[in-house]
Amino acid sequence: MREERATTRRQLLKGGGAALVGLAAGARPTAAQGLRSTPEGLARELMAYGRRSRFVGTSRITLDNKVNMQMHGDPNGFDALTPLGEQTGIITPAPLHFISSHGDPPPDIDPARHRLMIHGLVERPLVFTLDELKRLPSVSRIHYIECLANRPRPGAEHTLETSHGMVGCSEWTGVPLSLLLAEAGVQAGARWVVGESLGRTQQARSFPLGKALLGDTLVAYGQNSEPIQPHNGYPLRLVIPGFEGKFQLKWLRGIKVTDQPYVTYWEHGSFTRRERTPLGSYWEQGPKSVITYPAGGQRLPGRGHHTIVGFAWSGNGAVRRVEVSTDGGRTWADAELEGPALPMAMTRFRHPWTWAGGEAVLQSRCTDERGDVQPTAAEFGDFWGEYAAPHGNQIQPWKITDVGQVLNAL
Amino acid sequence: MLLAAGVAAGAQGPTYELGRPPTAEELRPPGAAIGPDGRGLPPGSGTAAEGALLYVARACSACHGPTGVEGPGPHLVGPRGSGNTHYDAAYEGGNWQGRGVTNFMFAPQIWSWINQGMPLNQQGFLTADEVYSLTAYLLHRNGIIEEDDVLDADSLPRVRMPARGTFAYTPDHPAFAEWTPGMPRRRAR
Repeated sequence: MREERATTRRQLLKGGGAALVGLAAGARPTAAQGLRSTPEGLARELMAYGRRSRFVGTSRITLDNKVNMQMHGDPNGFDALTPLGEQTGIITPAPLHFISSHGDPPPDIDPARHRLMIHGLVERPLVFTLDELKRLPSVSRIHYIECLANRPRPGAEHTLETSHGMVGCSEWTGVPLSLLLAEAGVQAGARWVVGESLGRTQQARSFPLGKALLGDTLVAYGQNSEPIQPHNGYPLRLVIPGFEGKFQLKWLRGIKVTDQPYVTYWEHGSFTRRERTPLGSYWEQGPKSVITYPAGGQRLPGRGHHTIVGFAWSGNGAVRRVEVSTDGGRTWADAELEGPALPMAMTRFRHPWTWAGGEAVLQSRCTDERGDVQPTAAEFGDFWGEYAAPHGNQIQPWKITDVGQVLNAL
Repeated sequence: MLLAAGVAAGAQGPTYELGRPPTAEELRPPGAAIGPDGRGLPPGSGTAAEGALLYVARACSACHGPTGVEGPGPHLVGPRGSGNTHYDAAYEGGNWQGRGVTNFMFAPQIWSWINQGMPLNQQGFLTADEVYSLTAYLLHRNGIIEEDDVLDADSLPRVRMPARGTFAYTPDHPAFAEWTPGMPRRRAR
């Protein structure tokens, strides 16, 4: 269904032009179909480490976030969005996984010299090398990571990616933090864990020891069966399934067990807001879904059959149900969940739809295994007290105009 | 829910016997966050008088203004207003401690904030003494300590902040709720 998209068609047309150039340069046709072969040198190179076809140009949407990041006290933004509209399965390719680094370029960490220290309220403070961590029993689990600021926003200029591009889903491989804590021996009175990060901004974040002991929190070194990429935390990061992305520190150097939350530099600001509620107001993200085709920034190539597709996820466990409305929320129909619906992982859904021309508003609604239902913008505003609040999981409506343009309907 | 492999941490000894004890130096990395109680604050000391000189010498004034309220960076004196319309629009009425030194509940958090976060893009540039002095300067300018009070690892945690108890970070606050698996999202207000 992706081939139907106008943007993809344009890319193909561009690619077609490039193919003609290749032909002129003298690539040999195969006998059967008149196809050109990849030049021999390049073909050999690609045998060592593959590369996508030169006809594929999908890339992260990089942001000049200077204004945005000033809210966090960062003069520089190192942010880039997942091209969600081009993602065909639940796994986000690591090179396309969103980046939000608050002004930190990735530190250039030599894995042979990197250490992870477990300290604080533990019986046996321990320092591990990466090799030692890899000798411990590892697990591989598929989980999304989402920035807390990823949310629908009002304004026709917002596309699928600018509203929902700060989420990605990977298979993470690493050691359960609970195992490392058992090796170190947690002392009585311990209540919190402070993750400590390398990098210029030396980020540190507190989260409840209870989550660390649950067994699903990982000290991860693998992302989609490869070492984690530098922008996503090489060589070690925290993966705290279901929790907001801000806790899942990259370039992890320390785990400190404490009896109190630290409220560090990085936990001030937007992360502890006016509500004067505990840090623990926003641990898990609520049930969420978004239609990725047709979606804001795209254009329908014509009337007739289209397959609505999208992703759903929840910080509370697995996605149980996704409903789709094609009439602005008046009626809803169950979408088909496609592929695995794993806990705290992106889950694909699809729904057949015929566009007869004219205006339409499409939206999706997720229900998770706990029975929590994705709220409308109005319900969300009522819950959080302020529409523009971060931590948003409200329903995203997309408006189809009579010429097939898809716009943000908030 | 995926709750597999919940390892009971605590009493028993290590299973795998990997890793080694950290050195004293490793236990005190220079950029490490300091908790509200100030445990782990490094040796060193400073006063507001010394901090006043450093405020200019280390170019804090370049962003925060000659007296800490001229911007363009967040105001350092008084409870409100950053001088940056972007902050103010987003966090009007918010509890962003960076907008006001008086909004910190615990004095060591100011030390940790400066140590970890300042100067922007040159984090790690200040010595422990300098951070004590700048902390003292900000506390004095906000009327919380005297100009000649000496701040160090012992005295700083004992500085009583006026905002103490206003935010539910700690278990002694009535609104504090310990995290449990599956706890519902809380209403904002």
